[in-house]
Amino acid sequence: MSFVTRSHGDQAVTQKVPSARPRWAAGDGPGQRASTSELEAAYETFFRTHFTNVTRTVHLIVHDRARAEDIAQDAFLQLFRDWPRIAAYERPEAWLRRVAIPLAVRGLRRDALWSRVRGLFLPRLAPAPADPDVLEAVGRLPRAQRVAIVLHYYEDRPVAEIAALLGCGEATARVHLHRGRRRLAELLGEEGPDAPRR
Amino acid sequence: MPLDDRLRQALDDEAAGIEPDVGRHLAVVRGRARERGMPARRLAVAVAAATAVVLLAWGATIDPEGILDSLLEPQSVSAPGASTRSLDDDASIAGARTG
Repeated sequence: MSFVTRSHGDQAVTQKVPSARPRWAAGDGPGQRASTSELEAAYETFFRTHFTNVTRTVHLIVHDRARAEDIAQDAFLQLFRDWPRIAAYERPEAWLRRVAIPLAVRGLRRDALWSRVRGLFLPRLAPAPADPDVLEAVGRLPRAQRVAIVLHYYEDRPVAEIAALLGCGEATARVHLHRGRRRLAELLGEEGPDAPRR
Repeated sequence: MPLDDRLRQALDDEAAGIEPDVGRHLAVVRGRARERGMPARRLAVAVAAATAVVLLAWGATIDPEGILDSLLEPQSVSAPGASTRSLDDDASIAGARTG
């Protein structure tokens, strides 16, 4: 599954679509290197195709739109610097996610640290409501479980890819996913689903 | 609705509400990429400017004729911080050691 932005009148709408694998750095013929202007144009196309979806995924992880846009920007900036090399990859978007997801996880880690520091000096906030909606429940998951849930349910990533993006083994990713779903079921007062098969 | 479907639906709905201004972000990323290339150049300019200032200050405070005199007559060296011990002192110390 990949994502594509289409124009509908003045609005660009990004949708999930089956993967079409463009070779972003390809010159006109086989074995030819793209010129600088071709690379620039390819980067712009790639940016317009993927920026929205990277931002959306990161937003679902960090639950903060402005920060999600900043993180997506940082990831695309790193991509820009390495674009001549990355453009030749089969799936530059996979490389991009391997940059963006850890940035989001790092952001969550900083948040957790700050909330612990704040907790030392400030009175505790009121406990979360007993029956949160789905998104709020996702936001209450530990970060690895949250990332696994978003990547699996929003991006339809198989366990192997989730493991690669989280930087852990497949078994660990499966555990994160399973525990995340079980915790969500508890929070939402539902029966837990079966473990992921992929 | 089963939990899996509920979850997918909620995440899809939430994500669909996020429509960043892609053109603006592209311009920002390009601008930041250009800025990233600057520090080395800025550092070189800053070092060159600092060197020029130091050289100018040194040129304004040092008397070239005084330096020339001191080079031609080593015994009369009396620059700040220089040893005030004379050659006679060295000779007497050498004499004391040998004799």
